[in-house]
Amino acid sequence: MISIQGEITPQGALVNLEIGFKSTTVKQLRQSGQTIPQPVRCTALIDPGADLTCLDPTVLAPLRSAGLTHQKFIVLNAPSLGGLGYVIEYVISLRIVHPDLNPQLDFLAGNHPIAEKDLKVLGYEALIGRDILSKCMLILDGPSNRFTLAY
Amino acid sequence: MSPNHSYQIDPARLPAKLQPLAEEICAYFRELPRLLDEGKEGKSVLIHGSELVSVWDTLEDAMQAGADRFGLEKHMTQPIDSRDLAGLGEYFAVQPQRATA
Repeated sequence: MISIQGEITPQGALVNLEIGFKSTTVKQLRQSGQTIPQPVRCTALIDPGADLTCLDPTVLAPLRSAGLTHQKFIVLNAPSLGGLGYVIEYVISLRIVHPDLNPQLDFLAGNHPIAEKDLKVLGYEALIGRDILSKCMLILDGPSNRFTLAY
Repeated sequence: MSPNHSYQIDPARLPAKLQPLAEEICAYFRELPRLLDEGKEGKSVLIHGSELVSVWDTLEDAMQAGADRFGLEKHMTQPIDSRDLAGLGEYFAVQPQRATA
């Protein structure tokens, strides 16, 4: 298994994410000779309490302006962010960037649904929820103040 | 929709977070009672602008149809869910005016 290890900061266990167009769209763009938009980097909190991975609108804005289309609306329960409510869902490619900066070590979900939710007030731009964590092993070592995310 | 409420299905009544799909959500809410009457709960719709384009057995089929027909152009693929009558109805419901003497 590949693993990412890090310190649990006062905000929690944080990792770097790279967000881009879903892989099927990238394939279509490549086949038609169109430009593929640059992925967007952001900081994400690993949140086992969140059902679904969420991204702040500012992270999605560059991809939206490049043609990222909305998929549907869903009901999201986010107790720390105003409770139950409708939000918009997008399908994107999501990469958890390994600290060694070797792309082959990254966690990659090529066609993954995420919810758009205002998060900046919490100090990070994304939440990694159980939809992603169900494919990983997460160890939160409180006494050592360290976390391990393995996949 | 509830027979006890009247609705104003206006995109401007939706909150900012839903504005990117406001026109499509209004079309969905407008068509929802008919779709439910026809027993289509659980199927998925493909909506482009204010037009309901087609109904599909699965969300994946609707997404594929949307990608094939509209590519990167804005469209919505949405599972048909009776709970949206009440959920979205909160945004569109108009308070009845009291009769005056």
